[in-house]
Amino acid sequence: MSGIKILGIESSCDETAAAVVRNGREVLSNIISSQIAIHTEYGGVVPEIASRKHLEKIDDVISLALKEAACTFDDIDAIAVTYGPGLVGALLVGVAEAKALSYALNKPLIGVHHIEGHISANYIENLDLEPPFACLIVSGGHTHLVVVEDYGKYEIVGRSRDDAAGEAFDKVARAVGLGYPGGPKVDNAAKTGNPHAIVFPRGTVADNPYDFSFSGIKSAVLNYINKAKMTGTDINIPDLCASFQEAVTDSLVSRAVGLCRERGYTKLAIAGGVASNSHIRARLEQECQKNSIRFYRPSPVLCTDNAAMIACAGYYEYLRGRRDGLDLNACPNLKLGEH
Amino acid sequence: MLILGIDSSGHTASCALLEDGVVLAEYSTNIGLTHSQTLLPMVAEIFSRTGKEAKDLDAIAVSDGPGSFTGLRIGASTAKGLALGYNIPLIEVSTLEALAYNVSDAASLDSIYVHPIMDARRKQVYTAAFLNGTLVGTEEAIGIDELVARINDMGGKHIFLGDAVPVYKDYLIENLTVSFGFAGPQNILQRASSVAAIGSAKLSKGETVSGHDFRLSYIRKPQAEREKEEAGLKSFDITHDDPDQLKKVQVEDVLAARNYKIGIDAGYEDESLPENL
Repeated sequence: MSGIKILGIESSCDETAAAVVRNGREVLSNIISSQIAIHTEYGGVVPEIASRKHLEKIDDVISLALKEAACTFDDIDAIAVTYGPGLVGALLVGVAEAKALSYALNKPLIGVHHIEGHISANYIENLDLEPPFACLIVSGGHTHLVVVEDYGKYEIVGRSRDDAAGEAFDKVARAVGLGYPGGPKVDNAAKTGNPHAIVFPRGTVADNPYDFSFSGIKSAVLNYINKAKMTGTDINIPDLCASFQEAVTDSLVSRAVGLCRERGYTKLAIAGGVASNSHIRARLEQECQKNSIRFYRPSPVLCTDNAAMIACAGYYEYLRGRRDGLDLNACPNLKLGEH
Repeated sequence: MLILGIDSSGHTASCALLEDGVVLAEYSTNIGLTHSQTLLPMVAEIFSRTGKEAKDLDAIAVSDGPGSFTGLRIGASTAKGLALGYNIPLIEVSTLEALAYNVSDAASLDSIYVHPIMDARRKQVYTAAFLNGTLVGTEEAIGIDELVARINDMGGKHIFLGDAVPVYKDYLIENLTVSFGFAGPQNILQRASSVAAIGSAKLSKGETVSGHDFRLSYIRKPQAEREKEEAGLKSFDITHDDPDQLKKVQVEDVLAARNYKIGIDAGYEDESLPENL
């Protein structure tokens, strides 16, 4: 087997993951140990528990990634690891392990931005996709609208001024008793609801039409619930979820498609955990079709945190010549485009 | 036998190379919590200085707790990565036992109890008592007042060391009624040479572990877990849909690493997230 093989390692939140990817786009293995069942009992990710579990599972995950890819460490050309943003204690486990492996094996080390990984997930299933394109990133911690000018080169056009889209989903899900994680729960409940039953505000930001605001939508939903509780009115959960989801989707779709139209981009991609939301995917697909924009979306398994996307992003950084030293640190607040 | 010792459980980051019972190099820094950036370059430095090849290591001994949760994990994941890369075993060494070992030889001559005390915050210390190099009782997190009362009951001679000494020195001086002293500044904090020396003894007894089996001994549970046990789920106004199913599955199974294949032959229902994710 020839080609450049990157071992990717990811531990920024609650999935311990490792993957081997050839030439940036061919996934030879994609191993994930998900802690979701543990954190569900706490209603959200507990950083200390996540960090402990990462340390316990990371060797197994890496070994299995090699085994499933039918490789040994000798076959690996470089090690790519998520070094931010994320939970610091969680990131540190992957970073320290990757650095020690890089030293022991004498292989180059490449620090990867987690969000750059999410964006790169689109390359894996779309061999024809190349920059430039517009990309909407929506996850539990991030909401960004960016232009991918080239591999590893981004212009941030818009971002959330308050809550991330996924955060709003989690808070709404919790308020109506659907539990954690909120994204899939709200998505499911909304399937039988009427998206126009309740009108929630679409948050706008005065000085930048491409920035997002979700705290207004979230507060409107919480106010609606409180009011219903006080007046003893029954809440129709499917209608509420569908209407909330519609408001969030409107905010996302109008900006993403608006950017493509204004700047003439013919390709729009989505990325991040919330990108597996079925309503957001369907609406974007629809609007892109209307506007002759080609719409790219990773499979849900590649929207969730995984290491294949980190190996993919690491591959393009490797080609660009990025090499990190043994002093690479975890950067919990790393900004996109920062190194 | 070539053994690398690693400790980053507290304010110091330390690594040492021990060959056939001889300390070839030891590198310790106490310059603030920058272990993530300093520890591995320090390891690289001692190999480069001694001219030894890291690939000739027989095992890596690492502090397995107690200590700073994050600090312990930096040391442990560094040790695990090295052990995985070189395909060698790990040796789990108690942070407290290694601290006590800093002064164990002198203390053994006169049957002096050695008490490593590490600041565990919340007015507690991680501690244990060692006599002639052997653990007396258990490793635990207890209040300094409780520790002092216990030692006053024991009688005999005592020596203290560890990062809680500067925190509680005045209290100890005021309240202890037994004969006692403190370790000097060269021995008062964690040293990787002690970790490596204990590791060497364990290695000769075959007491090694794989990266898969390596576990830290935190002593304390995560705060969220303690709160959950104390108050149930009351503080988190949530319901989760299948609690019975969660209970049925063992935690190890829940965390099992799986290969999630990509592509048309991956076998997922189109547009849906695989189970477990």
